[in-house]
Amino acid sequence: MTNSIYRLDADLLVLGGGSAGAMAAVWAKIVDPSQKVVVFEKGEIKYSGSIARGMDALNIVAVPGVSTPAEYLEACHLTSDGVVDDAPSYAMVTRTWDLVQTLSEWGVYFPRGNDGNYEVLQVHPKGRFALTMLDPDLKVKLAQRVYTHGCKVINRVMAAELLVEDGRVVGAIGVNVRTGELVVCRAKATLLSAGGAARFGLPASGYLYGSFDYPGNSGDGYMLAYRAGAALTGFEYTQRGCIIKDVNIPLIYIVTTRGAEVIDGLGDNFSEGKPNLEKMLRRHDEGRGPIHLKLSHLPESRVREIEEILFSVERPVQERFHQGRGVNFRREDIELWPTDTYLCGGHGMAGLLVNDKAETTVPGLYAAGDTACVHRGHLSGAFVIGQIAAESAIRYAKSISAPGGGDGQVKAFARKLERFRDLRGRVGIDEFEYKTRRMITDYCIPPKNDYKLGQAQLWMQRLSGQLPEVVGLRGLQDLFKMLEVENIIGCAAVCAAASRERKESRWGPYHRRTDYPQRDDANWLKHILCRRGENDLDVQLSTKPIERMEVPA
Amino acid sequence: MNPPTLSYLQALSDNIIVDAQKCTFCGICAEVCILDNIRVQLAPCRQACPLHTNCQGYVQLIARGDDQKAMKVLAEGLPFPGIVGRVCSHPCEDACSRREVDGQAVAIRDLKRYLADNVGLPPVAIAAERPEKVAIVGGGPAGAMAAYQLRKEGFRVTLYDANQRTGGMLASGVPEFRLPARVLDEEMSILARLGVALRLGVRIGADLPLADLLEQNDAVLLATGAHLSKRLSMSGEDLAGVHDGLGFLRAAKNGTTPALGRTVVVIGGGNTAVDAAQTAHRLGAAQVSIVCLESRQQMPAFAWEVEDALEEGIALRNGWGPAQFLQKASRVSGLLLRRCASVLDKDGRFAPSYDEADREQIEADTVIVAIGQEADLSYLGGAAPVSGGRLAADPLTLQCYGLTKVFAAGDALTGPKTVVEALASGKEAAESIRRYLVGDSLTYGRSYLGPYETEFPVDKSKAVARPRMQPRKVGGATRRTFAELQQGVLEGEARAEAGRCLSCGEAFGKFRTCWYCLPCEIECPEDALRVEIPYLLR
Repeated sequence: MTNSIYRLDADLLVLGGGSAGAMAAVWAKIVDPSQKVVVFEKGEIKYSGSIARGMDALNIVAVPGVSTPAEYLEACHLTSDGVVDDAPSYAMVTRTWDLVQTLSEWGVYFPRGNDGNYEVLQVHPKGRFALTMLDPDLKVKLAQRVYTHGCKVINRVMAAELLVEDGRVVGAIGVNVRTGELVVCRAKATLLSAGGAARFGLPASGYLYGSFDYPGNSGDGYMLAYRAGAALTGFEYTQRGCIIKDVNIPLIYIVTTRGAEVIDGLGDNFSEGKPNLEKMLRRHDEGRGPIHLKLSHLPESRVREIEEILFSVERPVQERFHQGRGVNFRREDIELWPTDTYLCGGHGMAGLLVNDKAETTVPGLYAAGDTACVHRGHLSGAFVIGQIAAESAIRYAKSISAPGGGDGQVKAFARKLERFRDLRGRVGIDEFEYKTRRMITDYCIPPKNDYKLGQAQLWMQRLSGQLPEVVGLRGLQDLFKMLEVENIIGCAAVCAAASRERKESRWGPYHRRTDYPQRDDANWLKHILCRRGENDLDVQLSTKPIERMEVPA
Repeated sequence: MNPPTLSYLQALSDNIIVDAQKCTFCGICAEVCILDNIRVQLAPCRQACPLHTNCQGYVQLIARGDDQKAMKVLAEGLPFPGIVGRVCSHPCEDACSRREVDGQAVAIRDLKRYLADNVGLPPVAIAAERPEKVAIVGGGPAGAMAAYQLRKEGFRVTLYDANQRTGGMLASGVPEFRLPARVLDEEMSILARLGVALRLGVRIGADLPLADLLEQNDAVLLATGAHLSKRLSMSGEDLAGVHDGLGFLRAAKNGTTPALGRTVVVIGGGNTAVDAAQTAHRLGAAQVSIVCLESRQQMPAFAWEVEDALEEGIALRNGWGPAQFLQKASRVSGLLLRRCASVLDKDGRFAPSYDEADREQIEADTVIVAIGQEADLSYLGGAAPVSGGRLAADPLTLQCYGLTKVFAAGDALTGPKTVVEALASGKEAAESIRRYLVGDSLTYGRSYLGPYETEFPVDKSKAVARPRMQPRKVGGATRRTFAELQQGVLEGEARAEAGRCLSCGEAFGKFRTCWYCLPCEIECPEDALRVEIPYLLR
């Protein structure tokens, strides 16, 4: 099918139709309805992305009278150990209140108390920013708007390569995940919103799709940009959660902000009224696990309130998980374990370097959501940076003429796909992915040291070389998985190189080095940037100073 | 590619649990799965249907006693169930797994008619109105289906037909006793109700130049069928008392048939020949026979229609071909037949050879020549490409070669085929026209059947042999009238017959890439699907 190429043009091409991409597409049409917006979506946009349904809160909202953008920046400085540029975070947080108004107008449900005020909870070290939002149809409502605003959505298409011309991104090549057909869209501006790398470390269950974050995210956005010359940052921030054992479904914010107690395996209650992931992970790693959440002391009305949120909004399937294990919150505690390790620009710090206009370091390329590094933006960040990226991209698209060319790149990619189709190795791509992610788990995650990270680089070299030799295709659906696994390997190579470069420990459990156990602000209070050299594994490293700003009063 | 052995993930247990007693095999679960985990095993009946009608779904719903929902499932892909329930060649039944249990397929076509006779069509939603204009030339199954599909998409559709009724060959050629006019007209009336502009009695070329249509419309579909009877090209073919099959059937429907005399001979082994013979029988001929080159088994006519003809006393003379028309004065009086030694050549092409020494003479007051049909494309005037007497178009997109906004469908493109094939052709053409008008790729994804599995084992171990329902037919003197020959199916019969369905195939989690995010479960219209936590995580 690769000889059949679907070609189209756009003013703005959005790669990834999750929360950020869907918002960006809608926003671009609101900014200028005359612009042609095309979305490539690997799954089905109605539910795709990390938020398949809804979310219990917009984690970051500067509610007037409750919290300020300045407080948020202060919180970001603390959670990032200072490695954060102010401008993107500030640009994000200052628009969050408007975001709530917009989403409310779109029919998204934000409950208000008897006093008429929104519920705003504290989940950050400073300030209350988590505004309760109870809408299990959030993604459906957003996706419907993508269509009603006239965006063209091409579902089941994985963005596989950015088209680059004279150092500028001019669209992308996509692959239909079911048929292997190529879709080529030339675009004046391109917006990457393809998530982070959720399929990165191996979940303890061994189930490849049992990751904490949406497993459709395989680092595609990172690698596409990296191959187009963009700078990645924060890849040494190897993130883990501490959530429901085995099933890896989050609940911490919901239950701890509503009175649940956090207890370690030795019975020590270390509740703080707000989640402290770092402490949980440290205690687990020190052998003081398993951490467990106690709700049995809560009044029945509060337990029910928690159940109603947990069992209806973000991952309602957890109700049957607890039932299956015989866990009744009124009697039994909820056991928490560390999740698989993942890379994420919206929760953590791994992402494309972007400024406050969501511009990447390559002209014509914008990024939003978990693909972009806007530390702790969460869902609010996905939406607002999506809006900002759309505004910037449309401004850029209107300033330039339509691109041409790119045929040579398309032909080369088609040849690569043909080579993949012809692979006859004995190892299935799933089995190969399992081994890749096991090696990532063995070598890329803390505690880190130079030798271990060197082994990570060695293994990524080895696996990269082995992929075309040992893997054989079993069906067309394996084709895009091979591209995904290439991306996972690439992400791991960048992660290992960046982790090796940062010769200090920082961010608690996320970059703990046993050979450099101390935080070293004198030398490392800065970003590490990664750019591609000769190939994915040839990581060119540089640093960038932290950028602070004067926050308006 | 390597053989499709189970992958590392596929060896895990499936956590997608489907209640086969509730599932209607609609495939929505597969369509909404964000990780593309789910596939639907496509039942053999559905695979065999050129329209991929969800036979399994509506038959199972009849078995469950939910006729309303069954009709909803049926009508999703088929707006003309009463027509198709009567005249379909039912390839679904040829593929039915039940045949391997007791040799008799489920009477899928009759169950379709049961629904059409007893349940009204559900309302049809039309998308937002669009400005683009489409002209469809020909109101037969292909043109009507295309008009229906395009109108549903909101396009401005005008349907032209030379006849005063829509239906094409269904209106002019299929006899009343097989497809009553009231059924055809009622089902075709959906076009006008949806807002298709009907220009009936307008012959493109003669009454309205094709060039005008091309100029005034954004797209044009040519679906003019195959309405010319092939000729034997033998001396005597123009004698009084010799008729062509289609002309004869048309005249019979119009009540303008000339006197047939006592003995009628029909030449040909296809459905038109059988229709003509049964029509002659109803018009009062004392003795009707069918002469054809083929053996009984080789006859292209549907076997069940040949059975009907035999029940009516129509004689078959298989393995004979005409050598000469006999005449008295200027009128036909009989035929000299010659024995056919073989019909096809070694390559399977039609190339009859004869044993000229073996001849026989038969009497005939009327001879009807029904040896096949071909398209009359004289109206084109060179405006569209023709090859081998048919419209020439890309086989995938049905876009006429060398043209952009002209498409072809139905018998004018493929040569004479079945009604369901013409409907499918019209549907494909409509999809191409939609894509063309909205600026989409005409080819992208067209070769992909959908998220389906076509090869899978069917469990027949618990199936018990049960005889197929026998359709009730009118008999006696009524067989000399044009009253509908086959009677409708009673509710009890329908439930019992639907109960014979093995319900082959179901939805399942194929790739084991489930993230238990639940859209498949939420979107299932029947609450038939439940997502379990995968065993490794449970």
